[in-house]
Amino acid sequence: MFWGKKHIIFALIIIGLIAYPLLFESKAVSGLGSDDAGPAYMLAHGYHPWVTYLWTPPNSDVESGLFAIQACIGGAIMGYFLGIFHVQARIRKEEIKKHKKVEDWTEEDI
Amino acid sequence: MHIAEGFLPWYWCVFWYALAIPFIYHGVIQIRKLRKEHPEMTPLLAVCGAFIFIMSSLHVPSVTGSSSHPTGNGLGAVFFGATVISAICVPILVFQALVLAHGGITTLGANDFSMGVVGPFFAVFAWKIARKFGAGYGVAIFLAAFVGDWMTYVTAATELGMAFPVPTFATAWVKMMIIYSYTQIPISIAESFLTVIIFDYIMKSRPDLLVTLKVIKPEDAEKQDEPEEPQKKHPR
Repeated sequence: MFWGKKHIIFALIIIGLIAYPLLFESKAVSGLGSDDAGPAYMLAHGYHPWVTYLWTPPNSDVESGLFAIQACIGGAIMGYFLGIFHVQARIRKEEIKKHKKVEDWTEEDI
Repeated sequence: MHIAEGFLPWYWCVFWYALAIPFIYHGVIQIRKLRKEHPEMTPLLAVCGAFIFIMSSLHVPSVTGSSSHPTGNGLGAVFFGATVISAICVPILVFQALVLAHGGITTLGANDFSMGVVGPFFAVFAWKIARKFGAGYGVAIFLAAFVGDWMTYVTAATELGMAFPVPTFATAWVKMMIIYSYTQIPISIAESFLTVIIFDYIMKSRPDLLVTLKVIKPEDAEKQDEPEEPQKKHPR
């Protein structure tokens, strides 16, 4: 089994680091955060962008949806190949086991 | 860390493109060479690219009171080298600029330089230093992921500070560092723990790939196949 105590603790730390601001920091949940704050600082100090986007998502819901699609595409690719790795590991371990059993049998037989 | 479209003056856009392009070019050559010599590495390359793709889409709230996204560039940098990540980041950043209006085509050079060049180079550096001083794989990959992520944001802050030194470069840089780097610390820690989990998973399931890439030693790879419990002999 892959999941050891160490990994469970790590997963809990990750959940804690994300859940804490969601529960107690209302500012942290809105917008794109630091990616928006940098340009906002420049706009407040008189900077004007010299080029704009060809297309922008019509509203924040569409934007969130597109980010979710991006995460899904990445997750599908990663899940597929990690799944293949898992199966390959199982096959390799079974082969090693089989090989050891044959060795045991021949030694005892001799 | 995605600098939005039009938020860097044109001459800075040219400057960052000029700096990033040689690394991207080297990365493309490295990927071609890797796929030719070791076609079995393609799935691992896809995993590392997909990891960056997912991480850069997740806007995670930070305990500092803002939100940001992880970068995921440390894992692939340790496996394949920094310039491979420079090349992998290009399609990801183009996708985000065109489809999500996040980042930009004019700022692609600057964004790739922070996420695909400086971050990965520091990640590899952190990994090598940690391993040299005898740190285990877990500690070393944790440090690599943390440094890779954080240095990406430090670079983005520096790029904006240089492009918009108002009232002075120092003031603008400090302000950008507070906006980007401070928020990023807890997110980098979370990303680093996740990177350790994925690294352990890959090391457990395909240690042979990591041996070929000279990430782990062959004797450590053999340990991954040892049974967890001693096998009982069947009565005959």
